[in-house]
Amino acid sequence: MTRFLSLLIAGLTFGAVYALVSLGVVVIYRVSRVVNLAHGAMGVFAAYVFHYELVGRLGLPVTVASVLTLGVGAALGVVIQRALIAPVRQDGAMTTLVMTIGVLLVLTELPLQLWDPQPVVIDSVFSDRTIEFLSTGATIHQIGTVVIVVALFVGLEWLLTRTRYGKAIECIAEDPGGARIVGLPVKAITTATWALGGATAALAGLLYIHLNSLDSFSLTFVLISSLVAAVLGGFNHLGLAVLGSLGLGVAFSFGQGYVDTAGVPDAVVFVALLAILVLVPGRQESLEARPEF
Amino acid sequence: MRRLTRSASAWEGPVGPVSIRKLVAVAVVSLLATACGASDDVRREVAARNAAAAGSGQLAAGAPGGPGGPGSSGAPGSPTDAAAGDANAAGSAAGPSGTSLSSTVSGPAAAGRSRPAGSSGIGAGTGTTGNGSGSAGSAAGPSGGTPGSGGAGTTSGSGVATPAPAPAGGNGGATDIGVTADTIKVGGIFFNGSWLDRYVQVAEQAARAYFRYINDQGGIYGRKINYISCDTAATADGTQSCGRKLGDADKVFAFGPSMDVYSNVLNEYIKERQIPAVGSMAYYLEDVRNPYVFPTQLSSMELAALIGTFSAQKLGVKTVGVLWLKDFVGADCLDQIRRTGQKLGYQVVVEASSGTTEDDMTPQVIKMRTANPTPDAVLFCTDAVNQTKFMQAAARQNWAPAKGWVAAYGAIDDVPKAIGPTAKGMWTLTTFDYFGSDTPGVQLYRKITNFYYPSMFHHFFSQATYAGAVALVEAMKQAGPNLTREKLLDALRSMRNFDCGMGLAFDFGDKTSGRAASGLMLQADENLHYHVASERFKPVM
Repeated sequence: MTRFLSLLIAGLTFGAVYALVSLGVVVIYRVSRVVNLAHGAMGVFAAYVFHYELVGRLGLPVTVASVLTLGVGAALGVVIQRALIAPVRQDGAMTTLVMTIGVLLVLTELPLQLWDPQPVVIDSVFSDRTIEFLSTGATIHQIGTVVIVVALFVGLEWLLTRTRYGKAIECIAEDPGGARIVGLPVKAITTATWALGGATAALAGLLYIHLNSLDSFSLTFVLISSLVAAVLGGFNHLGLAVLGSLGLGVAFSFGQGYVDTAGVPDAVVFVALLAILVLVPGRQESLEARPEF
Repeated sequence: MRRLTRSASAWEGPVGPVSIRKLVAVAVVSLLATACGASDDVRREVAARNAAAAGSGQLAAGAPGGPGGPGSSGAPGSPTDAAAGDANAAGSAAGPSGTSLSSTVSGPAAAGRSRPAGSSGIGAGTGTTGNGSGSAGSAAGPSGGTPGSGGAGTTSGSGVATPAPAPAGGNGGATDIGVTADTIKVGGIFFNGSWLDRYVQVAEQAARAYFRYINDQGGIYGRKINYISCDTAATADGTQSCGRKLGDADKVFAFGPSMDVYSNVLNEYIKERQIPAVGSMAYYLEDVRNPYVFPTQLSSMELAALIGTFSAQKLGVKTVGVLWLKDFVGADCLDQIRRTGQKLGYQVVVEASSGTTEDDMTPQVIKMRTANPTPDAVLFCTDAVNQTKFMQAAARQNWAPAKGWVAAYGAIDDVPKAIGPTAKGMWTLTTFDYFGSDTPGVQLYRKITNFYYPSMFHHFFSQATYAGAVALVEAMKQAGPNLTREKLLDALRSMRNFDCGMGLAFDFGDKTSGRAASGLMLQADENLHYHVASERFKPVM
């Protein structure tokens, strides 16, 4: 029972990290129909800035540095969207996707050149003290991550479904030309959404990398699992993306904890993904048949 | 509608500005890419220094001299060798080449790089240890030595090879594929593009440093080693491509030191072409069994037997948990730990696996700490990165096994620091003498590698590639001026107890028995620094 509860809680806390990443991916996808494969690398880059520049060089308090890092992530999102994504959007989704891969590669390599490649542990605004419960426990950092994910989900859901900004995003996604004709500030909204996505990437970077170590690849691999969760939500539904992420985290955790055969936990998750894509009606449609612009 | 939508995409800007933006985008990406490629401080610094040295001849003279090492000897530097030195060396009191480092090493590598005219280079000195007949001050400049020098002979303990001067009658010219009168092409295969890049790059530098060291002293029988490396991008396809590029297009004489995770895919090719391969990593048993492949690292099974033996005999464990990497290497390691346990009286009570890039190790830790019985120690059959993640996750759960952590692949200085305080007391295996120790062979290794790559750090894989370079040079020297692959293979197979001076001996005539395997343990102290914590010992296989 102890093992079961421990694995369940571990799965939920790590599923929260998946959720954090998938929320950012979905937000960007909703406005621009781009699966941003550089999302994880953006978060890692921001974490490098946090550790080496804001905390290391400037000596800022971790809380202040964390807030500024969200700004760094947002700025990164803006730069990438304006300088790299927007210019190639007219060339189609595939070109844009390849551009995000290019950004991923550059952002993965750049930290190794700019800063010390030695993997280090970064600070967190949350403590690492373990709170024990139900014969197991979680650190305050992990619990804080879950709370932030819930808050972020509620905030984004409200923003995207209850505000004019959210409606504008939907319009732009459906028909950017029409949105422009009716006077929506398409460029500004698109850029703002990338900024929001960049900030969530930075947040994910800060929270996840504290649980591991700062290396330029780390969050990119998390992104892969988060994309699975995003697919479960059709890249469009924040709630399903979050639930998918939590489910994924728990499935991985149970798989690692109970199955001795190597590779089975990964296989279970991806078989489940295939099953959902094949069996749940309409799931594929959300991923395609969108207007390219 | 799609067409209309496309045409309506003017919101992104009119055609002109978009084109400009495209150019800007391309320029930004190009600049970033250029920055990435151009900011390799090490290469730039070394290139600049070498360029400067080329003008003055300083590098040749200042190159770490004094080859030799434990068990090595050598004839004194010949007049030819002395002549190979530069004007700076003239008149200096440089010692005989091939003398023991314990008596000859007189200063750090930096001294060799910047020494003024008339001073001695690294390795220069006045000692006369060794069975060579050198006398103090008999030769100057880069140490030389006669072909075949090397302690008790190259078939058993050899130490670092001395370069072989060109024979008076010529070296036979193009004696085989990849060999000319001036050069010997050697290929190296390395995997970049993974989470282990920095370790791979240093491993390549270590091998390249030794080849440059040999070249700077005149090469082997007048031939310089042209070491051509190929990056596999950490894919099996990349390994195949690299092997064929080096073998078929570049036409290398031999494969040299390499660090690649998919080395097994080249075994058939190597057999078919009968290309000697010296200095690979022994990841796969197939590599070890390949008659043309001569690894200079122990196999995962030998490493496993070593940490299992240590855990049983020194820590007295009765139960162990094993974290293993989900590949052949990890599986072989796990199996061997079980076998060693059956012989030495401990039991593997829990095992957990990890992928190469695991997002979170918490479930694996839970599995370990909730096992019944709980393991006395956790043994790692995985890479240092996964080991680090696992131990960090264990720290978050306030858990550590009673008798500690024992790692097979953790002999890298930054591992304890990356793990954090929970790494205090952690044991890790090193097969070569610890790269931070001051044994003569390790001192020489550090001086040569740091001379050519001042920024490089060290780990046991960089020692392995360096050892591969030493072994290849020694074998080519033994093969003689009329160099052929067949002669090289014969020379390699005659090396039954080859030690490049760093403690670990290789039996290239019997690679599969594990007879030559040995290692020693490091332990992380309070400051998370490793120190040597055991004598060299042999495994129970």
